[in-house]
Amino acid sequence: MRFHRVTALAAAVLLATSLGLSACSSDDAAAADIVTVNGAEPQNPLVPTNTNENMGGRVVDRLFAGLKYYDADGKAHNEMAESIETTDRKSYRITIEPNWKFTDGTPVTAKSFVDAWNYGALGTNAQLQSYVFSPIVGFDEVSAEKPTAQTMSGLKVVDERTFTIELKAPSIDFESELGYAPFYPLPEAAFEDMQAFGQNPIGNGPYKFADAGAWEHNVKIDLVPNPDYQGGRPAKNKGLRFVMYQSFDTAYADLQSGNLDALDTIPSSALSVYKQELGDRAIAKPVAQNQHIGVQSNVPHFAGEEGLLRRRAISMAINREQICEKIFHGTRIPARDFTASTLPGFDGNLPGSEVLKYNPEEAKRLWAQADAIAPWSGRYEIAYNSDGGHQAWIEAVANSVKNTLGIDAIAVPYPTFKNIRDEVNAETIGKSFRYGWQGDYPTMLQFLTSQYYSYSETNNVNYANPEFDRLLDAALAAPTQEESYRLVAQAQTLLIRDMADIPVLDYVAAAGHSDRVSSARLAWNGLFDFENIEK
Amino acid sequence: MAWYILRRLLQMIPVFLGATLLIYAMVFLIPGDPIKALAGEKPLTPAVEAQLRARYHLDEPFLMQYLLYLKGILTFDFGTAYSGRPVRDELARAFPITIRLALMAVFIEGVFGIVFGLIAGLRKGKLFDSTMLVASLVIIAVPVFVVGYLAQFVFGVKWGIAPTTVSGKASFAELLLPAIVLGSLSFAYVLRLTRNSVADNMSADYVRTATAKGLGRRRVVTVHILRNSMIPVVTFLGADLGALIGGAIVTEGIFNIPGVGGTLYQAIQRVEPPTVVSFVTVLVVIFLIANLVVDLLYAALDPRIRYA
Repeated sequence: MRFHRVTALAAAVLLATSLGLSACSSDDAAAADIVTVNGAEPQNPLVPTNTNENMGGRVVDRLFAGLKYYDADGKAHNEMAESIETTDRKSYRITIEPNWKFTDGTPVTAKSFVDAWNYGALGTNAQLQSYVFSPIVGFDEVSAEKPTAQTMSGLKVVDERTFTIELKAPSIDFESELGYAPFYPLPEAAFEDMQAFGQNPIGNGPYKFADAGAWEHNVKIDLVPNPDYQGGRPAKNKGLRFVMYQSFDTAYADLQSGNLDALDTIPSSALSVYKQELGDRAIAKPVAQNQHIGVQSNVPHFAGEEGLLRRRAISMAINREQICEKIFHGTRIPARDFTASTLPGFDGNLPGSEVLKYNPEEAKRLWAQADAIAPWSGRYEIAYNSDGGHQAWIEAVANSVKNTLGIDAIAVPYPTFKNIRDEVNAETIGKSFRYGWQGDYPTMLQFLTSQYYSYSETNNVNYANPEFDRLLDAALAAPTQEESYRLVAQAQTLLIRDMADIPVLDYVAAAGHSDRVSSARLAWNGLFDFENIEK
Repeated sequence: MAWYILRRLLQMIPVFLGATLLIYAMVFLIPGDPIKALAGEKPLTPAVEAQLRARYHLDEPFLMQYLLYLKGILTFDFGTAYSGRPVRDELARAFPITIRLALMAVFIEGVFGIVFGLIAGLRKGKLFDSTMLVASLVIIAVPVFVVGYLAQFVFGVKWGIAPTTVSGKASFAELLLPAIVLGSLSFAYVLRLTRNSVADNMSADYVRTATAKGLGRRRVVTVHILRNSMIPVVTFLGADLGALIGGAIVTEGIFNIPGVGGTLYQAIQRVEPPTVVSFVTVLVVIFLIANLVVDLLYAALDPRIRYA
């Protein structure tokens, strides 16, 4: 009979591990009042300077208040800043409003900002967003692998409520950027144990954690309004629950069955039907995200005058309207410049921008002109990563080029996004490739400086034009936003003239909400305007 | 007996080492750089990149990374996920849920499969038997994700009688529908195995003897036919428990169950050796234990089987 006992023991151990370890609780009664929105497990602990993806970012932005915040239209307003003074866009003197508190009761002071930024920049802290502090004087010493300074010399605390910032070069963008997550302040408690802080963050934003451990990993994060918040975006609901989904299909099923109040991404499987299924609960709104097709000049036939003609020809050979409608059911719109249509200062009718419109005759003519310089040989290849849902539209672009120009054009899949990036960065890709940009904070300058500055590390196509660099510098140093927008438009006209790369489409977010929320709006970045969802 | 179990447990060590090395090598060979993936399309300063590489031993050669990982395992330190959380916490969170789901599925497929299989086997060639054979064939032919999405849509979205997704509690009621979906495929196999085995044993000599010496039909069926027919079924169920835990990935995705599936999927996408290897290693161990339990059960079913 001995084996019976052993068997029973083995079975008991199995059962115990399965049932015993699984005790955890969740309060569904409270869920009735709070707004449930879709999320996913944040990639990193919820530390503002270490959060660089939007699943963590959407939570961090609720928990913290910065010097500025962005409204749903992408306009920046003062949040904690009482005044931001500058005469040259290079030296800033910042005064914060009095009487702000972190949710642990400690006051938010000028030091809270300066300490947080220095922490974010310090190389040994390995914060993913450390690069955002690079315009500040002293960043290079602090961010080195073996730092020669612990704090940036360009940051100085003047008193409780005032500090000054010294930049390496003028930047009108810096002021707008101050609402971006890495620039949030941190309380004293954070620096004692940042790892623990990231699990139970203490902020000064419109929301706070519902309780310690409100972050149930891979399941949900519960936030409740912060009664001490006194900025311009107070919570209009009784709380937010970020439900973590493994797929948007599942989230959509939950939206339909009423378990989810707001979903910011309709899965591609439902794009063609979601407007009928959701009726007036369906939302569509252009957002600051685009897709381009770039080519580096070391690819045969794409250098110099010949390359310019070919890029223009290909751009005019792409039927953007049709691709947006047929493949994306209107969830993309044709690109009209090198940024995105939702950004403040966007023009959309820049001189020369007709090169971004479908024009087969002109495309053929330009292609023939290029052939006169050097006859076309080989085939036109566009690389895309097959892990990101780009296959359909890249194939459509290839087809459009093939049919218009009568050349052999194909889409070339790469297994992952990283594969493409490795080859793009090493400049060994040897063919056209798709890439996109998503705005971190709502300015056109961010799109342009990151991608087309001659010395930018994220310049995919190695575009280098001193005149363009000069215009961007001038736009950054401009005394007023209007003047800055005017210079940005001039700089973009150069990009169009040089056809730096081929802008193809901008994103239109397709979203939906349940019938229990009376208003839910998407913001400029495609995320919900969470504070203003009313239930 | 004790010696047998000990030997089996010792055998697990080389399997464990081989499996982890193999998985580690495969994850290592996935193209692309995890630190670049962590950065996304954003730039990383060289210092941050170097720091992160050193923190996760990515600057070491493959064998060194593996040995460092093994060294950690021996002290029950499964390493750190790129999110900065210990992998051990992830294991403790995800496995209980998936094991519960898999046990429920095994229970459902076992009970229903054996009962229906027994009835079908006893009535070989009759209407019930033919219906079951056709039905099980249909179930085997339909992929589990089709069953899953259909069940979710019909019971969850349309009728609202079952939750469309599972919360962090993963309670019994919430897991019922996913467990049925997960168990449906194996249910068909259990049914067919039981049915064939029972049908075969019906004409065996010992059944005729049992009937001839005047035993009641109930006793003949339960003690003589069923017990002897269970050997292939138990073998299948044991092997299936391991397979179900692995196969739960699809079902967990559909019903958003925060178990092994989703965590593993994310970790594979992020190319995180510690997480992937730890999860798969635990799966391997569960599989080995399930097989050991099956082997021990044989003796209970057939006393002629001895352990040596």
